[in-house]
Amino acid sequence: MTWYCLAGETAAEILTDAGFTILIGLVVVFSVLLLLTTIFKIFGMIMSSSLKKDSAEEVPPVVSTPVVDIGPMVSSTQVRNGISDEETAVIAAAVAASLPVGTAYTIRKIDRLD
Amino acid sequence: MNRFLEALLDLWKQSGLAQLMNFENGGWKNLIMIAVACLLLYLAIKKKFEPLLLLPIAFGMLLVNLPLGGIMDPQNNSLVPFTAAEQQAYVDGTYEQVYPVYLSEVSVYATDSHLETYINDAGVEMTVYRDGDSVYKVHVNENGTATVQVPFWQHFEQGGLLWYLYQGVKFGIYPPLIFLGIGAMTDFGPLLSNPKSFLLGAAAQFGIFITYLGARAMNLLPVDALAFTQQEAASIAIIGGADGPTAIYLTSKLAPHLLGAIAIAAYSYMALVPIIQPPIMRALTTKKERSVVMTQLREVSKTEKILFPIFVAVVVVLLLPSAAPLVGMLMLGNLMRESGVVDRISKTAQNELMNIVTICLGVTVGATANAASFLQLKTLLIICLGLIAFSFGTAGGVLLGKVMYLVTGGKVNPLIGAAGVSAVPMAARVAQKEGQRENPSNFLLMHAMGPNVAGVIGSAVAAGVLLTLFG
Repeated sequence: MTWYCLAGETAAEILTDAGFTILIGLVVVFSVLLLLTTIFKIFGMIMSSSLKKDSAEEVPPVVSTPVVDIGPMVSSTQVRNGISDEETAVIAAAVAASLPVGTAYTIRKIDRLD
Repeated sequence: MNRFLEALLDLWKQSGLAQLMNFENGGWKNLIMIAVACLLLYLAIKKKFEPLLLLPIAFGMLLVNLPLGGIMDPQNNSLVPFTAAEQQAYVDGTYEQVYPVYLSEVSVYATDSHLETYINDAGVEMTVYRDGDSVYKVHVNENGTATVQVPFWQHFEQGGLLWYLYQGVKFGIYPPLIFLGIGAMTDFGPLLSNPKSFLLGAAAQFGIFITYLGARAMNLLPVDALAFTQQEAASIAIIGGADGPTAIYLTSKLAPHLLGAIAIAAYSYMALVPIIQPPIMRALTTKKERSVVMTQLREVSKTEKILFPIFVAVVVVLLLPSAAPLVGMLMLGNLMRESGVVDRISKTAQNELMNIVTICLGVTVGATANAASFLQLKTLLIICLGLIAFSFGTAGGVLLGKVMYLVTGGKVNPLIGAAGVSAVPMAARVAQKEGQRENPSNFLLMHAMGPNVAGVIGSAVAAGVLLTLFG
């Protein structure tokens, strides 16, 4: 069987070119992002340790796993009290961000004030 | 009465409507394009499919396919040789210049029989080159040659409005400006608190490179109309990055004739992320994996957030200079946001600038989709390959998520890997919804935002690789 190709290109050349592109593309993308991962992982560790030193005397240690619990839900697309799941997720994340790292909390109720 | 009817007939013949109805001359193609534009307008307005970009794209497509509108006609610059009278006036020094004049210089021997001494109207003696009625200024050189100056004037025909606005796409100006706005709007905090997310953003670029293979493999088929060059294949593949500005930027550099089809495919699939991704996510994960509740993200300090754009810009631009326009502007926008000292320009980048550029980008990209370039078999193939790119990108992210799930002993929910295809924040919202389907008290949104914004950086890096290889 003879492969039909564009002028000047054989099937082997096309597949070699594609294989080379996949290989070099993935290697470069992963290398760059792996480097960034490493940099910010190290940076995060440095920042966390310095933060811990600062707040060690003020924050009591917490061991429990933080889980956001807003009670039973019937459906993932449910809207309760005019608040969608997505809004609940954002509010939960905002609450988490405002508390000291590792603090366990439970959101029992969210009300819209309008 | 006859004259009146003839005038009416002439007017009709010169109207766009007559051109549209002239089916033998391809008017039907324009009608199809107008129908496609109306369909996209419907999807943008009624179904709210990426309306911010799909609406101007569709309207640009509509405008350019209305015959004789000339809204995308290029500016016509041409050089017109002087007439004999103009040449005489030019030699005499009485030529009144209205348009820019260019001189073309031709060398002849100083002994050429066409050379003669001439005294012009101002009484200045000079050497000229006479060829019949034409007379040219001459500069006699010391080496036995003479330089004949042949003058031209520049004819200038104004182009259409959208052609001028299109220069922002052609020269790669709009996409980096959009990235500036995206950077100013994006909180990279979730990514910083879990840097492993970078890898999920990288894995989701798998779709780009697999699609490149798919597009190039089309050349093995015995149909010329389905063959893609390396540049075209790379431009199609970038749809898998799920990042409109990146797709437009790369395509404008590598295969501008495919811009309309690729932009429309990219934005359409981004709007369809909630439909395309969930089946792939469910197929590749188990119920147990989808139910994983991830631990709370650590707090990210302001210093980290300020240093992040500087580090990313330095690392990426040093390693991959071709990604500088996109990554550089993305990080500049983010630095403006996080520094907190330039609130005014940060807000401008997020709102006014972003909106203005979005209008210009959308309408001009739509205007590149004329009947001749869009109504081809390749357009259908681009749409199919775009879907493959999206699907493989999602699968790549989820599969690496599964690897992370195994390596971390079940601490990572693989669903967040699907958000690595960018499409911010739609892909992260899909991960959130899929997670909640299995475990209603699970909130993956902020965890998925990490890979989601990493995907923006990942697709810009992938575009840089393709630009380096094929640009």
